[in-house]
Amino acid sequence: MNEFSYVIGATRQVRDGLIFWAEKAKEYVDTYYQGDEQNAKETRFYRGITKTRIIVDSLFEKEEGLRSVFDDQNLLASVCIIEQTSIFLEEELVDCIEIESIVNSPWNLIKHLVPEKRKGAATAIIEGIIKENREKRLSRILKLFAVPGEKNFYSDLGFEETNGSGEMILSENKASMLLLDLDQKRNSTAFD
Amino acid sequence: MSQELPKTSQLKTYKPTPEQLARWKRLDENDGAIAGRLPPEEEQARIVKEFLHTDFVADQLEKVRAHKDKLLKKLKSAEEYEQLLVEKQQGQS
Repeated sequence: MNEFSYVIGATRQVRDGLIFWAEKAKEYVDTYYQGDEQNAKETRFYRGITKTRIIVDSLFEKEEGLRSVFDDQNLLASVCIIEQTSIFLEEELVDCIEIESIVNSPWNLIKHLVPEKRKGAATAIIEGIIKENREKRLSRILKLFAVPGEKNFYSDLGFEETNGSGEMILSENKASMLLLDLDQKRNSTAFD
Repeated sequence: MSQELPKTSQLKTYKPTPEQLARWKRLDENDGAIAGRLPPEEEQARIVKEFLHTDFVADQLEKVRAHKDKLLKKLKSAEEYEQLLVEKQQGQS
């Protein structure tokens, strides 16, 4: 199982990592899509470029909400923007953390097998957010909007759809179960 | 002298259930996660084009300088307000 280190805020290392993402995205378009981004349309990689740009441009106002993970090569593997908010659950307004945007690095999104690829970055960032909020005694309920192709991934992490719009919630209980599940994965030889 | 026991995590003794194994496999295979709302297709095309066809560093440098100017103006305004309040406070005493 790949291990990642969790980073809070827009550090110099994270900014540098995002510059590297931009360079690699261009390189992959040249190498795998004949230099034309239109050939990458409808792919996860293409949607990831869009999301990366949205995150980078929102950082000027939202840098305190930036969370990231780095892999064993010390490469930025995934980033997200979080925000404290509240949500109605069983007719009660409760605190929760909204994951406004999340995106993996270009090499973790492209379907081609590139040497930088490391599986597990998005799971690691979700795990990091839950652990951070547990330490700060904040709500561990997470909310996000999943694009259609990614719903199964978040379902497997324990997120549940609320109203069919793509909004998904990870309850406190499911968050605890996810942490236990990941500990069990680390403690098994199945994914070494 | 007591011998230090290996940590539980180092023993790797957990036997996953078939459901867990299947789920872990799916998570690894699908780990290309993106979340959050995406703009309409035409807007995505514009964003991707801009991202790939402009110099990222130069573009960010321009944006961070504009952001810095905005913050400096806010700082100046806060300092002026602070000074006004200090003067009012001194006038009261």
